Amino acid sequence: MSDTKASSPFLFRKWTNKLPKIVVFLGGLLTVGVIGGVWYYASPKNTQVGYSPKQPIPYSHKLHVDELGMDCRYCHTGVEKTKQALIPPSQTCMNCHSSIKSDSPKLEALRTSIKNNQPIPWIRVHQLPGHAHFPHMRHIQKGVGCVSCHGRVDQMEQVKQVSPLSMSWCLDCHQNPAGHIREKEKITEMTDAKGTGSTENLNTPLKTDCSRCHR
Amino acid sequence: MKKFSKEPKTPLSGEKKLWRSLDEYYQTNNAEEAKGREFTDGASVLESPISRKSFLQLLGASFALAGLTACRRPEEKILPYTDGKSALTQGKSLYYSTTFPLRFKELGIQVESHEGRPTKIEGNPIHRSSKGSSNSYAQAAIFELYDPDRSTVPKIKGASVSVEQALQWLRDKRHSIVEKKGQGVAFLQNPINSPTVAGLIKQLKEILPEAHFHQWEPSHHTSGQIGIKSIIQKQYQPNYLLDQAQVIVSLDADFLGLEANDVLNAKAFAKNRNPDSGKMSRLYAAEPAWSLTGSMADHRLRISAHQVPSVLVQIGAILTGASISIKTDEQSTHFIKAVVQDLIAHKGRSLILVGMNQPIWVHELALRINLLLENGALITLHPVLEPTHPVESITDLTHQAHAGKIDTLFILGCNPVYDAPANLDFDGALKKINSVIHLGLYADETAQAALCHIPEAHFLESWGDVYSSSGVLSPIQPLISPLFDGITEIELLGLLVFGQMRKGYDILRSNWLGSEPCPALNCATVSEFDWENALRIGLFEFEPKDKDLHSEAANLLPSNKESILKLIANYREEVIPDGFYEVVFPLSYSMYDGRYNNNGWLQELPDPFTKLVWDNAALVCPSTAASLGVQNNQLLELVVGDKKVKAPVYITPGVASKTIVLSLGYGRTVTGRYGQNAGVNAYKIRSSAHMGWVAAQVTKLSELYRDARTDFLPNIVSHNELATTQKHLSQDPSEKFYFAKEKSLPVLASTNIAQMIENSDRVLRSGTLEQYLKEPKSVAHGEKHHGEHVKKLPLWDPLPQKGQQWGMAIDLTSCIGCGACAIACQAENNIPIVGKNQVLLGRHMNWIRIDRYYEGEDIDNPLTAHQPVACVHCENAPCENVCPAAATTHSSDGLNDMTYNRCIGTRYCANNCHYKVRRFNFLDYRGEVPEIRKLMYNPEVTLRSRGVMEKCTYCVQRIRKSQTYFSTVNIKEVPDGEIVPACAQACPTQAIVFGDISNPNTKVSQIKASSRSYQMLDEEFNTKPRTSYGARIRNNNPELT
Repeated sequence: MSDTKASSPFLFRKWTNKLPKIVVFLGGLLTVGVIGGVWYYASPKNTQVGYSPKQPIPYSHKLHVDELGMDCRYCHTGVEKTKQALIPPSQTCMNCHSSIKSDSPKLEALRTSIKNNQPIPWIRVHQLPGHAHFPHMRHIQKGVGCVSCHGRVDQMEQVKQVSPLSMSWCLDCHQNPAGHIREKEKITEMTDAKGTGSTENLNTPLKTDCSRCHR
Repeated sequence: MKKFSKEPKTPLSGEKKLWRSLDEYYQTNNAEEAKGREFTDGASVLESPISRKSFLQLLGASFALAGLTACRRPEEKILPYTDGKSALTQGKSLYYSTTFPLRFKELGIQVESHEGRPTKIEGNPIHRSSKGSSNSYAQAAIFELYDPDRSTVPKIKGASVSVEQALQWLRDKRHSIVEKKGQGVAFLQNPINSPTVAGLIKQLKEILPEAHFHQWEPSHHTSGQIGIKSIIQKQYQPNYLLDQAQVIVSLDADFLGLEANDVLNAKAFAKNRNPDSGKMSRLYAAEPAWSLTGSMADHRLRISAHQVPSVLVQIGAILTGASISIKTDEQSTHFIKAVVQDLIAHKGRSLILVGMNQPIWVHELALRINLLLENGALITLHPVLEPTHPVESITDLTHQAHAGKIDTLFILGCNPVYDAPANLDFDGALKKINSVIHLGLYADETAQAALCHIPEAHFLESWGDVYSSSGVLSPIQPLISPLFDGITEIELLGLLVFGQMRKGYDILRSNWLGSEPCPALNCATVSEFDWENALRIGLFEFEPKDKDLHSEAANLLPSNKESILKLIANYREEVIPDGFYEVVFPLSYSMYDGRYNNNGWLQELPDPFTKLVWDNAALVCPSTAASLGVQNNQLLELVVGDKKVKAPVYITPGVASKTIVLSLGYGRTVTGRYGQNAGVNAYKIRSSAHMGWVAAQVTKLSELYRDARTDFLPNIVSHNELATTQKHLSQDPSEKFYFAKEKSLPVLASTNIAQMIENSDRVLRSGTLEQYLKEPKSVAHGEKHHGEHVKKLPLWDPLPQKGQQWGMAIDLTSCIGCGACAIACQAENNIPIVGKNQVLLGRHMNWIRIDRYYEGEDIDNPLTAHQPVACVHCENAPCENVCPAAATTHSSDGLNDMTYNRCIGTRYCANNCHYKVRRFNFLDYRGEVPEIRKLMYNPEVTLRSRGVMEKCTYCVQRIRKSQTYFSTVNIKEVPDGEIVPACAQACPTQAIVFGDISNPNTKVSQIKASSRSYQMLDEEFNTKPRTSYGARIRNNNPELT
């Protein structure tokens, strides 16, 4: 009889005693997993950093900046004057490429652009939301170097986003700019070393007012 | 919801009373209720109720979608220029000088262009007509440019054709009319203000010697010119040096609003109205309907339009000693006597102005009286390119057409089918003409009746030139190439002259670089350098020597008095028969003569007095309404001969007795999406005999006004209502009364309703010049205003202040209430229009509201004052403390920031705002915007979506832009006057001044230091607003008080 009792369909099996613990454990794991997953995967550190789309022309910053020693501002002419650093017009490329490597197959898109007077459809890498206004010229004027936000572009074959461009990341620097300020002449210098510029030269107090960026 | 009774209680009584609506005057419960409310009744009602189930479905779906899309924003392209030669730098706006060509109100302007898109219009600081300011019509031109309802394709016989086909058709047409030397050909244009057009017409007259040239404009602005002509035999545009006049008498003349050169006039007028300098001109106005000028008047006489001449005749009679017998009431006699005394006391420094709607002889008489008073030197004269008498011109044209003498008619840019005098039967005349060719911005009523319609280019897409009524020659240059392939008047006339299509630029340039660019002005050929310079600065540096009436009429002076006596002797009083009422037809402050009918910004700009939007109405004063036995919204039928029109009543204090005011410009039958069903057409009963007013039989109809546009409204708002913003957002200094009532606490003994309304004179403070000069403090800070001092104990620690501190001063003495600031703000800050239904629900979005207060106990005849109210940027801002999302916060330079992306739409801030200046996006007003409208947006300002609160930001984008600029050139502080918010920039009287209040030397600090400067509701709530007001000072004549 004891056998039948043990296997009675009306009784819970012994292992079910552990069920609440398992449920609690798995549930906890799931919750932690979901929170952790969202925390990590949905944060700009994961979604934004590392973004590196294929461009219509495989333009190598490593070649042009590191090996040939070009200054950022040769192409990105707006960086000291306007909000945007500006992507150069096709003509800027042709300043050299009309005589150097003028028939390279990689430059097909450039040649068609000049021939048809149509822009090259570059893909935006650093994308800010519409409600955040970022002026390049003001940061350059205050001594924030290119490398502080864009990383070692001189080492990139294909441009990659290295900073999350999130609000907390912006505020980190706005609240504590030491190490990010460079001397005027070193503004486009590509080094991993911290900036040594003086923060006293920031003539207005560093602003964290909402309307500095949101308006 | 509680029900509130509508019965009137005791009307206001006491010394000085301010009220915004009849409800407030009668102290009905509606008025108290409105003051306590955050928004109007119905604002937060869901229009298309979504069930709980579908709401949850949507909620679930949006979570799922959010999960899918959160990874990264969609791929975005960057398209740089190819050649790099372009003057455009992305992210940097450019300004181009051009001219706003509205006849008689031409303005030199500078247009801001973002990446080739014109987005904002400002006045040109060196152009005499604007001196850096502008008006609402010019500000709203941007909306018109990007109007998807503009005419896009040429039409021949109703069928769409290509531009090339249409031009070929025109070339063939030209061939046949040139062969006949222009026999049976007529032209109808707006009055010509372009030297190049005048030159082309001259050449055309040589090719087509038999053709007739006519000019037409419904607004009747030429009356002043013709008045001059009747004295000195030559037509000139008169201009008045208002800044040099000590006494100004306006007889139905709205020189600050609707008359020619409004911006120039307003500037000059305000210049001599500064109580702080002790110098203030005195303005008398006699008018049938409210005008901006009447609202600024120190003494206003409410008088029917047909009786206005009698005022002038009596003035003339007293001055010349002529005997007349005119029956007048005591008030008028008193007024006239005081006016004459003042005129004599200020001989040579006074002006009498007559409105465009008055007959020519009244203009002549006024000019002659001005000469008699030695004021001729204050009236400057500017040549007219092609003198015309529009009413005679169109009458002549219509008669010829009826007689079958016209075979081909070119209508260039006007819409006579809509606005021609009703007695002429212009429609019938058009039917007798074989081919009508119409050039117009819209495929309007006239285009429908035409054989061939060609889309016209907007002035922001055109090359052209203007000789303005203020006497400045200036070029029009395009900001963008024609969006809909329109052509300009110059190009079409060029085609007829040259037989081939030439570009507007070439025609214009060859005119200016050729011989005799403008024969009427006798100006010399310009050099290549002058031409380039003119395009750069926005005007040709050619100033013909100003003529003035005094020197031009010098030889007539001896006989002047006799002429006056003759005019007086010939005066016969106009009589309105019994049972008839006078109907007057002013231009609309929004629609002008109807040409801006499809302009949504202007449709939603509240009328300065009635605060009506999206409609016009038959305005009557309360006593006339009582004698007619009508209520608001009730339809009246106005019958003139066999013509009639039905219009809803709107009771407006201050309108003359037995007068009905029906503004022009509404009731278009063929218009776009914004103008559809808006208002009633007053042109239907306007005849060429009396353009200003007409005697009409008036019948009260039992039905109420019904509007197809409001059919979809929820039942909370009664359907057939005129939408007015005057009752929205009223403020209450003694809000504690309301709270006491809501919480069923016993009402405090010291507060009662009467006191509540009495308190509104703390919101808008006013006084007389006499009182102000005697005791400067008493006007704005008199005993009464200190009466209920709140002990100023701050609840929180004061916020840290770093750097420059921004503040604003608004001078109520010079605010004329025109609304230019409101439209400028709308253009600068991407503020949506919401439509009539939404306004009825109390959801209008304009950041600046201009409160119009009536003052005085006489409900028929009050005084008026305007008060623009936008966010006042309180230092102790009540809105900031209640935001659960920290979306509204204080900046270190004293701005009350609004961060849209943080806002979750609780509306607590609006609920806590004493000034009721916060606006909530109840719906996504951007969602259904046509694609082309997106070109209009200012990229510096974020677009707001549904569920987001917004309000005036002091144009923070301009502040930050300036700060960034000056910081890049290493200047620590932004110099005074460099930051100008859009409203201050547009203001024609410069009543709004903005700047750094931490520096005592800035203009704004100096204004704030004046004894009449006060901070609204600060004593009551200790909000410390950054915007202060200058009390309204009136220069009363002691004789009349």
